[in-house]
Amino acid sequence: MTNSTPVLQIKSLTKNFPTPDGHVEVLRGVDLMVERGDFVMITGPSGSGKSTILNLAAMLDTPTTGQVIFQGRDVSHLNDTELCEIRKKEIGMVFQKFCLLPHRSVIDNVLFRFRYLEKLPHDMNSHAYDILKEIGLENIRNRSARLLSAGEMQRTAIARAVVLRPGLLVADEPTGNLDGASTHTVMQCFQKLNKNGLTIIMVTHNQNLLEFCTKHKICKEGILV
Amino acid sequence: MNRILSDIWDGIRSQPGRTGLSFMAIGIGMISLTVLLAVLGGLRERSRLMIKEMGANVFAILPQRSDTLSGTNEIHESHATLIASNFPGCMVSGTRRFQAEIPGIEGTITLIACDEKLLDVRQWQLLTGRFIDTHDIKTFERNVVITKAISNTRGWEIGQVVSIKNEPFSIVGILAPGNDALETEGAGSSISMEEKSIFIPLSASKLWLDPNQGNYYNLDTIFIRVPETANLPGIMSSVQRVLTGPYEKADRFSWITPEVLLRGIRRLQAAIGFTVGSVALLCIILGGTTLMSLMVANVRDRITEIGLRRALGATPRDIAMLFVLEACLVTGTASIVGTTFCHLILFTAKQYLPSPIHLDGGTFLAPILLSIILGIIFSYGPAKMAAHISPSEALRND
Repeated sequence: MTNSTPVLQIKSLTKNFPTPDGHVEVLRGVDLMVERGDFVMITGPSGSGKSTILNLAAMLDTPTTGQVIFQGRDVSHLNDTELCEIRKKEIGMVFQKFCLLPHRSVIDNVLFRFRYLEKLPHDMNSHAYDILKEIGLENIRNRSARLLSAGEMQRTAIARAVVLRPGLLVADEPTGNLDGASTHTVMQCFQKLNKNGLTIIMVTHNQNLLEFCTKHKICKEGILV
Repeated sequence: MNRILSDIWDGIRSQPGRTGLSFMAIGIGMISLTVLLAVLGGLRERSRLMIKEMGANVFAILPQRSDTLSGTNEIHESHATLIASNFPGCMVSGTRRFQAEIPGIEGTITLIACDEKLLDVRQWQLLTGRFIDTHDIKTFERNVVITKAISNTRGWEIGQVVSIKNEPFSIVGILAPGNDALETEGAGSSISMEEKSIFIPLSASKLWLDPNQGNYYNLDTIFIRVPETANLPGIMSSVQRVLTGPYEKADRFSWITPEVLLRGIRRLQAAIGFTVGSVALLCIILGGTTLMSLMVANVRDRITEIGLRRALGATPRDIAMLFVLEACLVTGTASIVGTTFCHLILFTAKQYLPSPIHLDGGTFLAPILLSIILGIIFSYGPAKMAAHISPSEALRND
């Protein structure tokens, strides 16, 4: 893979979901190209297929037809184990619900990113500390996650997502549960990481966040425009 | 390993109440199972000791128990002589029991009047001195052999002259105590040596009997040891024929063989196996189903966590293993705690319990092994369910 290779290419992607009344076509030919260092934001109404695109980009799901090409490799037809291997090292994810382990400390939640690696890096603790420092959480690294504010929780989740320096960070409504001030802090975090070279795709309802992105796409009835 | 233990600990901490319930049910089940194994082991051990004490090649003849005792079901010294003369390869010994009170010893003591062959027939262990011999029998010597328990209680030693039923006797030997065998079916205590027994020559015991009474030559038991190479049932059948006179039948006597001795124990084993086994089985099923419901609830409550793990690269197998190992840890720990607790209680209180108790590595390891197997069986379904949850579904924001 060269520096000019797009991080992610989505070509003519469709996705159907089975229901008792037959198949529902959620995505109807989506195309998207994400270059290295892009901060792509996808907006759109509920049920338009934004999260489905994100799941396919994060390799949590497989398309019905079309191609998902990640770092030059077609991953559309990989099996579950192969997708797990890519997610393990190359994809960072941030969720609306934070998904922290409440009984563990901030730093342990960040270190949880290494949980399914076969070989643990010897300097993972210093990596975790560095990223917490970059995000401004180093002083509360030993605090239990359940005692954090919503903004701190989301920043911890971001630290967990990026501690392994993934090729792509996907964020699904990361500010959906945050107030205005926390939203701003979290978005500044994303912007800082993006300026340091991290490629990000984010789905959001909040039109006010568009100022932080470098590319904007609107998802409408299963198509990106 | 640390990573797996941390994950399991997280899961347990997230549902302490349900984990505690499951832990308790499995623990109680394993306590019941340990009791069952310990009692059955105790009975098995008791059977082994009884056979050892009785002797695998020994059988005994006793008067048939009857409320209307008559001359026809009594055993006489002549019967022993008849058997001994007809079966020269067998060792035959007759005994008669008396009760006596010895100052300084609580309760009554059993006096066993016997001939010189009893020790060889029963193969008890002589600790010191000698047993009753032919000379004692022929010359009506007032010599006795005592058990170790009597020697310890009264401080009696070899050579000491003691008063038994107001008659002086000289101690010539000390025997090891017999086992505290259960009362056996049809035999009562006639065939076992009690802990506090005194052996006296059969001839000398006549001094407490009136020659004019009909029971002067009576015996309580005749023991017959057949050679190891001989067929015990065959010899017993021949002895029965010898004792069958024209007007008498062999079934007027009780015939005690090792098989008869074990009959009562086997019945007890079956009863205990059924009752305690049923309780143990119920507790285990209850614990297992509680565990299963815990695991199902756990999976439902932790769908987001499952999604997160899948997003971080966990395979379906990793997810299934997490839940199976969590269940095994709960059942295994509950079993270790329950089994250890039960062992401590049984070990401390076994002398006060009505049933024999046998504790060993098997009674400790078997419940733990079973609980781990149960953990695997009852968590398999929920673990499979967790493994098949789609990561995108698990992470949906609704």
